[in-house]
Amino acid sequence: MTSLTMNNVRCFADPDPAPLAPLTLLVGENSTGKSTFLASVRLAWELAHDPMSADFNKEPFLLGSYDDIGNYRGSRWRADTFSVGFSCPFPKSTTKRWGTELTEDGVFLATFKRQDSLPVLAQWQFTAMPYGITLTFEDASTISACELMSPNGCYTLSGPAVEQMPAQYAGEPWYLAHVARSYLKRESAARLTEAGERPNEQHIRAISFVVRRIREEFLQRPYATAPIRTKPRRTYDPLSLRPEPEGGHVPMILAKTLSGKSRQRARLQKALEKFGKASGLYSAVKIKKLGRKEGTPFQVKLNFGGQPDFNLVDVGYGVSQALPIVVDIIRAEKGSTLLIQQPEVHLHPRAQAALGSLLIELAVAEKKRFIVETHSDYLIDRVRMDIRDSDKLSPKDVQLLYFDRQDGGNADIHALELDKQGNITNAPAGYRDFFLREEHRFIGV
Amino acid sequence: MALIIDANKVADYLNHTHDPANRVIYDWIENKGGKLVFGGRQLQEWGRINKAGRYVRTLLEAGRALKYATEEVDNKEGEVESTGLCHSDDPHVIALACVSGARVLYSQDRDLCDDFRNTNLVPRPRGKIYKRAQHRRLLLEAPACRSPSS
Repeated sequence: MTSLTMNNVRCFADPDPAPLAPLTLLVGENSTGKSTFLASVRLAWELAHDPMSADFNKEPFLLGSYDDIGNYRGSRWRADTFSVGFSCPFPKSTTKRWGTELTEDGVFLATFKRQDSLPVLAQWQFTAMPYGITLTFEDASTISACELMSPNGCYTLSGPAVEQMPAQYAGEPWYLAHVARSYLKRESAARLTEAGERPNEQHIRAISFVVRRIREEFLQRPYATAPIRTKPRRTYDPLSLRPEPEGGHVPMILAKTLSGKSRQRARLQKALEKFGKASGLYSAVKIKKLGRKEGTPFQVKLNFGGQPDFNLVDVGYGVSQALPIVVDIIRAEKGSTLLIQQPEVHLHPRAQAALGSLLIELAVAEKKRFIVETHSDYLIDRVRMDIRDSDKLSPKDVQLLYFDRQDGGNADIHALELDKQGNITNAPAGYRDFFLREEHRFIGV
Repeated sequence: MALIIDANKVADYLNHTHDPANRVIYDWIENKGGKLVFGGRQLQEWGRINKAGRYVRTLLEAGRALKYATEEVDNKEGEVESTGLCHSDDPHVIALACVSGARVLYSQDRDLCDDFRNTNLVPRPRGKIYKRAQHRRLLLEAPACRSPSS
């Protein structure tokens, strides 16, 4: 995913597509749309994979009904439609496979309309010019038209053949190709000649490829963490390993991984200890089982070097708030995307800075993607310093997105550029004005 | 629009906040897109002055300052010294001007001001010296500096 597109989504009327990088940091005042942005990333993924199953109200992002999502247009009006989508690069090797060269970026866009106060899919579009497909929906289960784009132009399939397409198969490239082929076969030669824009077999295969390639952009569902983490407990019962936004699964993960003797254990322990020392939060994380049987309760213990181990509830609250994030980002699979809200809560600046280093290191070395909403200058500054001081990091590995509230309640997204020295080279008017004025006031201006 | 503030002016700049010359600079940075330029030994000298480190950090975080690579400025300082043309004991300031492209200096050091105006040391456009509030036009017309990574 190289950029996210949002139109008429909450406070975003029509912002430019927001560029993304391996580590994308979302900054700005409260209520400027940062969480909406994260929700939209997950929504875009879900829509691209299964347009019928998109959930606007799944923890940790609760977007509400249509009237809560559609951009406010004054008085009682909301925008008639809203859209979410993304663009992604096509590997150069694939762009020339189809006779006519594809543009480098594939684009996905889903548009919603209101039906009984709920958002329902109105249009679903995959393009990589000159190829593309647009499905138009009558309602949640009926497709009213299917438009194919090819070097021959646009060709619209409609009528019973299209209306009978089961909506749950709508996103499957093989099914789309099958429908398009059989439709074109059935159409009379006279009608097709009259239209003059009929895609040929190679075009249909190219369209099918475009859909498949864009959907493959995220192999795994983006995993989102909540802005607050679950309270620590003195003793845990081994229950579920299923990821929860508030990190309730992390003690179980630690118990399972750190109790074994696998390679995973060594890797997790090493990474946790490295972060613990850099952040000053602990020296080691340990699991104490309260019985011999598998499934017996356990405790999460922390060591500070030389002293006895302390229970997680007996140490600073910041440790229990940071641990779920740290474990999740270390364990995340290569290529996965994590949406993280306020990872710095309850952390001392030293630990916030260490978290910045960990994020950029994992994003680059292990090709993970993090989109992080943060108010932590220490985290951001550390990332800027790491870019400046490391030959392995480039300004392109990081994207700073500044969310700025405009008059009238809408918000804008500014993509800030960093140079190799970590300088921001295109700060927009108003960026961090508050901090500058406070500083000037502090020195007595 | 970029300005170099000589280290000998920093204490005055951060402490005499009612001085009209300083107030023009505060306003220029806050409201008119002005940027301060830092790098090499000049930045180290700033760092030794009370309150200055935090101020520089605030400016850098806000994109109202540019920091140039220490190595690049230090190398240029060596070149400046080797010309034998520098009369002041601040060749690092001259080096920073050459590296950054900034051509306005806030300083009271007469030798440094002479060096800064010397086009054999600081290539054209010719360097100019900001000294008092009446010189505000120098700030508004100051040339942009080059991107540190280019």
